[in-house]
Amino acid sequence: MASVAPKMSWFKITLIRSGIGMTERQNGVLKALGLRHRMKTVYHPVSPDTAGMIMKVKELLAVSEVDKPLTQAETHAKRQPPKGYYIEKQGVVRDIGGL
Amino acid sequence: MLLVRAIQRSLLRPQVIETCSSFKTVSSITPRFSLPIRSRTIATTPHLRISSAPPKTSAPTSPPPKTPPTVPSDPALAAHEPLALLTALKVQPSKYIIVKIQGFSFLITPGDKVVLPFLLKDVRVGDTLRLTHATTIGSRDYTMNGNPYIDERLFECRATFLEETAEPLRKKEKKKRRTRRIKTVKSKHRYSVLRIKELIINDVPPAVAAAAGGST
Repeated sequence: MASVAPKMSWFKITLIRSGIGMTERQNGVLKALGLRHRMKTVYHPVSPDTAGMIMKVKELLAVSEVDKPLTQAETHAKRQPPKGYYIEKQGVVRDIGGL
Repeated sequence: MLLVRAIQRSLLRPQVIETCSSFKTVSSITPRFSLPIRSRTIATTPHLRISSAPPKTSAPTSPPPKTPPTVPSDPALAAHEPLALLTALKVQPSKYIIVKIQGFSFLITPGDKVVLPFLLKDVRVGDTLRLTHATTIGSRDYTMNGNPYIDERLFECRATFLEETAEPLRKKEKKKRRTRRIKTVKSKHRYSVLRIKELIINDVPPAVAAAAGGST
């Protein structure tokens, strides 16, 4: 795939309105895009095919262009709140056993 | 330079001190101030934002210190009001801190036993935890707010992991009308218990003081 340097070549698609009550065709498009539930975010390469799918269900989506897709794990990690602590010193007992 | 711009911005947009009016006796000397955003790379220059009365217009008479300053006698610090107030907060007898653990906020003071409504799976009994994400540190007369968190270098809050415990077993019976079938759902949520050991406010680190003194 020919790539030009700072080109935004991915769609970031988030389902912000549920597919419940939508037509079979629309739900089929959501399934094809990989949008299983609300607030799920998927990345698809910019192409006429993807653009057409987005246009079919555009009222349900929030779409933006990015240059780098994130994996599912990375997307999940971004949504987690910070732990807020770290273990400074470990205690003596590491494994109580039997629990 | 960053700080001067910040001061100019704060002067153009006057901020209203809503809650300080309740402290009638100390309303003149209790502005609320923000401290740097907690950043992963400590080498970056922190951006101090003053969210209260405008700072003193007179420039500091002494040049920024080359050696680590000794608080509170440092003139550059005294000229920079929020950092000088940090010293005032430090010497207050009793302080509280609002920390966020896994997104949940807890207002704690040293000596508290905190029962977290979840289990910390990577911690064992007896471990010492250092709590890092604080949104507010306060005392009777002063409050320090972070934006959104207070710089980690300015405080130390330690807690001991006391126990992994659970609530008593509770059963919920679910039954529909005109049916004899009863479904029982059991719940026994696991909790972690921490004992807050200490809350220390540190002297202002040289990097933060130099950034503040050098910018003004």
